Amino acid sequence: MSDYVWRLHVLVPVRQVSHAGEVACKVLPGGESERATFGVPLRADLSSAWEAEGSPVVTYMGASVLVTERQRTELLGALQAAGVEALWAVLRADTEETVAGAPALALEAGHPWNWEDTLAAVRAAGRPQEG
Amino acid sequence: MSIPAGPGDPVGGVPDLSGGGGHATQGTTALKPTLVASAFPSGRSGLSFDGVDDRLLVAGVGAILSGDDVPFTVGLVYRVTDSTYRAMQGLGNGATATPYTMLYSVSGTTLAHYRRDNGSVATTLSGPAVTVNATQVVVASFGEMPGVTARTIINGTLEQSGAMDVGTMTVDRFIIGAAERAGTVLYPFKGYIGAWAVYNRALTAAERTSLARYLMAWAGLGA
Repeated sequence: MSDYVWRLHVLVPVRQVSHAGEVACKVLPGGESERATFGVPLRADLSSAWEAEGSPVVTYMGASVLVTERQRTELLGALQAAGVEALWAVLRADTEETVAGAPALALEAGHPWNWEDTLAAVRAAGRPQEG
Repeated sequence: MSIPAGPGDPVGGVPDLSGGGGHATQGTTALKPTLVASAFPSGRSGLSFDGVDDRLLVAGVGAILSGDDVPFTVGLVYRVTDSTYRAMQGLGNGATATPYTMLYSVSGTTLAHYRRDNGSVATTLSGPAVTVNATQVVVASFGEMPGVTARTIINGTLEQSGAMDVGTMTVDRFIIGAAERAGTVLYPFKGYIGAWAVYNRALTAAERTSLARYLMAWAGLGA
């Protein structure tokens, strides 16, 4: 049976993405390759920045990652310890139902959930507010 | 690729069984697709791509497809699970946003080719209809001469073709499960991808049919 029990959605402010990448390098198994973990650029309205032409302003960087319980604990703990203002949602890996989320997102457990739901929860929480 | 993945595990590599060394790999945990048992009617496993950032890079193929309308053919077993823009396969350049190409589903209705060259010239070729939540096989060819023709064929029968002359593209990566612009994910695929095959030429009609039949049998579609 797989040890990968959680699907973790994480958004970090673009100004902190280098710190978040360093944390991922230390916590996740891929070493330096993990610097690319937070690689989904999002505009202020949390739409994908790269679906727009030109040079859109990126506000948050996102990631969707399959992790073990140990990796989940260490990653979120290390992001907090590094002062990264991460917004996150934890889903069951098999059913992709909500388990928990960052307090600001006020998630209820047990709901079917996808990436767009996480983005909507961040919008509802009034984030992001800076570029 | 030293440790075989089990169902539910992230997949960091898929070996090239042709002997050509075109292994598909991904070193970043968040970008790895997930192995799913019995993903297709044949009972074979597949890779689940999360529609956010998952993708595999096929070693060495992107570079040899750089140039002026360099021909190639890709065949792929897939199941799209939603109806937004999703790229199954792409070519890109890590240094610039301009040159890229992709084979993508358009709002769950069609499969289309899109290419953009070093000078920002873009062209799109619409293809046949995609069925959401159904296992299908696509064979897509580019750069067939004369006329620089591209073709998209679903399940060996539904075919659309047309001219798609873009010009020179300098690409350095061949991606399964997304396209990339300047190394950043674009239209990430959400659904399942099984076997794929890549050729550095435009296959003939008979060869396209053979490839489609092989992939349909692999998927259990009763070709």
